[in-house]
Amino acid sequence: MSASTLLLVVLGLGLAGWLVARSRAAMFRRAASDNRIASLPNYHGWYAALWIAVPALLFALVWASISGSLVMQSVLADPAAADLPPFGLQRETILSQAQAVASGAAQTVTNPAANALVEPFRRASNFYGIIGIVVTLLLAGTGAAFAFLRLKPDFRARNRVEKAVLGTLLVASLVAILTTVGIIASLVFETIRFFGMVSPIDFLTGTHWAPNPMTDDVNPDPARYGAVPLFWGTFFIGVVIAMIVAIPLGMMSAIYLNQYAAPRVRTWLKPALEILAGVPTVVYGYFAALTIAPAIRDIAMTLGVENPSSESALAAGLVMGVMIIPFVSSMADDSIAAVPQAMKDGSLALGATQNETIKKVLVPAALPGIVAGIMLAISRAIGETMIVVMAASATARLSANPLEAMTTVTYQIVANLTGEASTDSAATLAAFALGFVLFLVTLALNVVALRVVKRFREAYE
Amino acid sequence: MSDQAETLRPTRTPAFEARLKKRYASERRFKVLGLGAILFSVAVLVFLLINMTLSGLGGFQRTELAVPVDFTQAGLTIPANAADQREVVQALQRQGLPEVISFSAEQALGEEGADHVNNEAWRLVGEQIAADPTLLGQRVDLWLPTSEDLASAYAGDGNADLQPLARQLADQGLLEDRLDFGFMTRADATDPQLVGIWGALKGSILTMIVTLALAFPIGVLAALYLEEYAPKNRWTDLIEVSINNLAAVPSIIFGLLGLAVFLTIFPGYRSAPLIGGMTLALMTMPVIVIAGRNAIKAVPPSIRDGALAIGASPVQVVFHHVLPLALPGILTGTIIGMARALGETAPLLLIGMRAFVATPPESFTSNATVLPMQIFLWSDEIDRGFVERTSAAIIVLLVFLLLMNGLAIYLRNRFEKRW
Amino acid sequence: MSDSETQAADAELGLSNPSGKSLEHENVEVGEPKMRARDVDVFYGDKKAIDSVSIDIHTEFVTAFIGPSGCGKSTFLRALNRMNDTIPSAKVTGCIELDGEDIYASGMDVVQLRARVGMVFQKPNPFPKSIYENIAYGPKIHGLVESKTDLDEIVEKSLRRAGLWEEVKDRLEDSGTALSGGQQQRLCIARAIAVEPEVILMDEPCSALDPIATAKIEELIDELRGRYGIVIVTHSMQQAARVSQRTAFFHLGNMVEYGHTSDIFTNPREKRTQDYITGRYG
Repeated sequence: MSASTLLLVVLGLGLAGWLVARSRAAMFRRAASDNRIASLPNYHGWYAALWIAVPALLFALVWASISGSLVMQSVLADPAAADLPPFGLQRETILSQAQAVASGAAQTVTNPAANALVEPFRRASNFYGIIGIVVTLLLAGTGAAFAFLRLKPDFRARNRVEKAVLGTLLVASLVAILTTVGIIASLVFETIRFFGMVSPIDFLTGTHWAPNPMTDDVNPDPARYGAVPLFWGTFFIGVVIAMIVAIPLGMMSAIYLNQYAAPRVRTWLKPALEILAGVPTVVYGYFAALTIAPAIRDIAMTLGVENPSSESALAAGLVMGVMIIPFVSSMADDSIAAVPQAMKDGSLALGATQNETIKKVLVPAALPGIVAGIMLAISRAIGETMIVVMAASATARLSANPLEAMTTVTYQIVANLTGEASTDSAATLAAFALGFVLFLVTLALNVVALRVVKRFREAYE
Repeated sequence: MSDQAETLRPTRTPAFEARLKKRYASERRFKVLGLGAILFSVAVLVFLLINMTLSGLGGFQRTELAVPVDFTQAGLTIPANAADQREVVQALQRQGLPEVISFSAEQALGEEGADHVNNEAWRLVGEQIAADPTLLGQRVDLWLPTSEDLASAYAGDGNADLQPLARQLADQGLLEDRLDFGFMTRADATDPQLVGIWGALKGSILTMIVTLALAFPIGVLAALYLEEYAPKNRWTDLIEVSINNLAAVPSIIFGLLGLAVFLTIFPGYRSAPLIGGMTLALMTMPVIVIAGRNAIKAVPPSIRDGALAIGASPVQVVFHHVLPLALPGILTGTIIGMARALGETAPLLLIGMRAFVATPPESFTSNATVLPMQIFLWSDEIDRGFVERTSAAIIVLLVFLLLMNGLAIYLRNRFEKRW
Repeated sequence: MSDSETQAADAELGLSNPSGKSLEHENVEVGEPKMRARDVDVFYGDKKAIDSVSIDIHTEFVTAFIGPSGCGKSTFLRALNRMNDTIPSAKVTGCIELDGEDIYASGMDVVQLRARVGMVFQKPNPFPKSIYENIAYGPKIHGLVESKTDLDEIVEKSLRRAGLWEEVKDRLEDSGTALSGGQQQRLCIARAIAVEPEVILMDEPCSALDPIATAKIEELIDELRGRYGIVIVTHSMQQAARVSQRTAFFHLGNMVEYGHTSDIFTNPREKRTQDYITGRYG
């Protein structure tokens, strides 16, 4: 019996339980003196169905995720496995081929060593498969027995079912916390391993970045893991160049949309900005690499710059700035709109012109919101990956010249995780350490910004 | 009235009026600046779209050679026991279909031209025959893809030696760019003449199904809990902070999570839509929660009171009244979150969905790639053919995103609150 | 003004009673009270909104709560069917009984309580569903019906009792929100009636309505009297005089005075009541 048949069987049992409990409740009702029972028949049905299906399915899920390693364990314990090479790619190939043949996914093996393992694989997976099916069905049966013993005319099935619903809601909202914990745990774990090889001080203050996955994995040269050039590149591209583009353009767009544009114009321009915000970053990256970067190099060349890079920080930063414009604009728009009309009226009534009112009253009043919006924009820019992967360079360089090639944290995360390095090499772990730094910085920016926004909104409510 | 000259108010002086003129000038400048800023964004958008469309239209075409083939003389047959297309093509290959094609090409184009019929062209013909066996009894005029070299020569770059040949064939009407419907049905390949987008598109669809199946129920249930039931305590605060922060965390961090957690639990499913979808679901879930909470908040409390007052339980109130009313808003948020997930590349890059996938994925666990990843992979290729194909893929992606956003806007307008 | 004053005077004499029912029973023996509140305090956080209120609610007549705004009359009303539970900071102490059962006891099912003690709100709040569904919702969730025919019957009966049937019988599938304000409020009353409650609480049911719609609702309240215990909160003394037989006057969270409506309006015992009735404050 395959996993999907088992799933169908359990769901079918649940449905059967639902129908039986429901009609039994209807019978209770006809038998009752006042034609009333404590809960509607539907709730009796759900009560039974939940008891039948939920424990069984939970077990099946857990079993599905652990049975693979149980099978593997028993295969490795088999005498036939003694001839396996102790580790490496060949061992993996032999095992996966044997498994493929045993499960019927493949007809034959290319590596003859796998043949001996097919039978142990088949035996083990049958064994654990049968255990899984039997326990699942037993659980379904026990659940059914329990539910039907408790279903009586005066049983408050609704309250029980609703408790289960509320429990589900709670679990759903805990997924968010689990995700956060998962992120922190995985980043911290790998980062600690990395700091076991390269000291945090070397990592955070070193100025030379050249991880080499081919060198010694156990004792990497800490001098090659100085991340300062990456931090600088990220800051220079994401904060300096991108924000020089995004802040003035985004602010002015917001002010125009909010204060000057006629409603009809606004209904057309606002969606245009939304579309700009909805363009996938890979498209921006392609645009930056294929159109903007060569254009910048050509312009630099005509201006007499020698050997301008075709992967300049400027190209990536400019395009990133354009990508961020709608974001800054919508945050600024919201903040300005939150300023009470009375404040604006007060200024206009003194004879201030519109732009004087905007500059002297509206923007200062909206400033906390705007600043928070810019912080969120920065957090987005420094975490942006595809634009820099496609348009920035792999070379780590400390330079303030926007025409030079630079690299960023996100670029290096991708480069070190998609290369050939093994999962335990310092280069791979370094990527997690970079990710951890990135996470902490963006977390700080987000938390502060969200708090400022919240306080700002409350102030004007 | 009296002593005008003496008590001229400061706001009536000529100096004031002069200043006023300046102030108005500054007002006009400011307004123009604002308009300029927003027009800049619009211009970038328009430039981007036009740029992509112009170069992308070429991507839906491919350079093909006209080759008449007389199958009546070829003596090819379809074996009766061939089960599927693949077996038919294999049988045709054994019977010498490639030679038939190259012979016909030599007849029509001369030796030099025949060299530049694509090496895989016979396979395409074989597939055509499998779909329509009557071809074997006919003389057919086929358009076959050229080699990569001839295609770029025809486009005016690449190997200069080939350009005269390309011009000559084109003058004879034997070489031209033709609409390539196969682009929408094939998968990745190493030859830009033979690539297609369907493999990546199907991968995207499978991934999105997983994402939606996980993120939508979890997101909606979490939103309901937080908005309707959650007690005010530190746990609830923690959940709220988590969700707001997750919505703003860089997407690449989710890739690191997927790599460290999902791929450790399911090591065999690298580059499977299942894992990609799970990773993107974690990223999309907070978006749905936030949109969902806003939609739920917008349902007037009087509806809840009304239902409570006739004795509906809190769960009934929520599932019979609040949820149906909030659903359009939740759906709008969900579509926007899904559109973001559809365009997302970085986290999938980390969990290995960058494999070269030459056949469309069969299931949620087979190797797959997604549309934006395909764009990224093709953008790394230097060949001019891939440049156009990349733009074409971008157009396909943008069309999907526009459709989704359009649907979201439609929903928002259609179901805007009715109370 | 003079018109309503006459009406108030008429009511006192039992003359303008729309249903023509005699108010004789004000002087007859009444049965056990349907609801009984003793020493009820309601807190919002630390703030005491209701201070030690004791009152009986009888099915035989309509009870009106009057008083200046913010006096706690609505708060007390919401305590009677535990709608205050929806406000997290609200806390109720003391004892409120329905047929001798403490409604705040842990064994009391709040859902069942609200099915027995219905409520109509200040602003009509029909569900954005069809008229039919609005009425049918309560009977459905409480399992009061077995078949569609039963349900049709309940819907018709409830709408008839609410005096709405003739107006809406041809468009039961229209949305409840499409009705006029007065019709919406009668729909809400019909919705409450459909689950056959024992008591109906009305929280200023006419404050959002025009005079004609108000008159219809008042007529309806009078027709419903005797079948359901009715408690109405109102800021209009004229309305209290027109529809109720018992009146409680609330001020600053205290129940200052409770008695026969006619006594309260003509012969109040407390000075504060007198001041309010005569319009010194309000």
